[in-house]
Amino acid sequence: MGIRSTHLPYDIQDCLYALVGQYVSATSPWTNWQAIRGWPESDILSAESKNYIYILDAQQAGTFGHQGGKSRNIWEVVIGFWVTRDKGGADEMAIWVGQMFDKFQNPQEIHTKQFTVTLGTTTYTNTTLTAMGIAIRDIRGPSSEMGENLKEFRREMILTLIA
Amino acid sequence: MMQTFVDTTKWKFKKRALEQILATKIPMLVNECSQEIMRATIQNLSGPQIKPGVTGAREIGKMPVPRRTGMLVHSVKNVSVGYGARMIYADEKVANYAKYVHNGTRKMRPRRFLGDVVRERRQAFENRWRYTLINAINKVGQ
Repeated sequence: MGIRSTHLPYDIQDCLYALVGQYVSATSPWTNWQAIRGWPESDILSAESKNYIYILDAQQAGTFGHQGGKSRNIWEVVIGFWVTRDKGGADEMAIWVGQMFDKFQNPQEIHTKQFTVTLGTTTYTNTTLTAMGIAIRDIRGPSSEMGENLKEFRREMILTLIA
Repeated sequence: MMQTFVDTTKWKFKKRALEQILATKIPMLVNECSQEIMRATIQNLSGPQIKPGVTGAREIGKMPVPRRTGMLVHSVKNVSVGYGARMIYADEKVANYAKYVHNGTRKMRPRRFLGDVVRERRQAFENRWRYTLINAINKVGQ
C-alpha cells in the first residue's frame, strides 16, 4: 500500500490530484480542463487559461471495521468544476458531470488507470488507486449551482472512498 | 357474524407494540440529532466579533466564522418538515450571503459550517439510530 497511514488525508488528495492530472493531460475532453489541488485562490484562477477542476482535501466520514484488524476509514473528497460562460458554460459543466460519472462509476476503469505520484520522498511511477490502497465506493452529485457570478458556473461532486 | 381471533404467536400484539415504540423513538432521535447539528452549526458560526467596517482582521476567512452583525447565526433554522424529518438550513431571507460563506467564492475559501457538521457526525448518528432502534425492537420481542 502506497499511501501513508500517518498522512492519509493529504496522500489521498495527492493521489486523486495525480489521477485527475493524468486525465487532463491525455484524455479528451479532459484536456480542455486544468486540475488544481485544494481550493483555487483568486490569484491562481486569474493565471489559469482553462476551466479547472479542484480537488479539496479528504475528510473522514466514517470507519470500515474488520474483526481483529485495523479498521479502514471512509473518506469523502469534494471535487469541483469551475467554468466561465465564454469557455463553455453550462454545456461544459454537463460534459464534466457526465465524464465524472463515466470514470468514477466504472471500477475497472478508475482502479486500473495509471498515474505517477510523489508521496513524501517516494515517487510511485505508473501506479493505480488499488496499488496505492484506495478503493472508490461511489460518487454523488452534482451539487446545485454554487457560483456567485452569473457568468460563472461551479458545481461540486462528492467522491466516497475507502482507504 | 361474530369472529374470535386467537393470537397464539402474539404477532398482532408485538406488531402494535413495535409501531408504538417506533412512533415515539423515531421523532425523539430526529430531534436529538437535529439539535446536535444545530448546536454545532451555531458553534461554527460563533467566531470572534469583528466590528462592522473593519477589514484585514486575522480572523477573517477562518473557522469558526467571525461575526459582524450576528445575522448569519440567526439565519440558521431547524424546522419540522413532516413526521420523522427536520430541515436545518441558513435562511437566505435573514442572511443572503450564507451560501457564499458556506460554498466559498473566488475571493474566499468555503467554510462549510453546516455541511461539515453533518459529514463529521453522520456515522455517529447512524450508530445511535441503529443501537436505539435495535434495543427498542428487542424489548418488544422479549
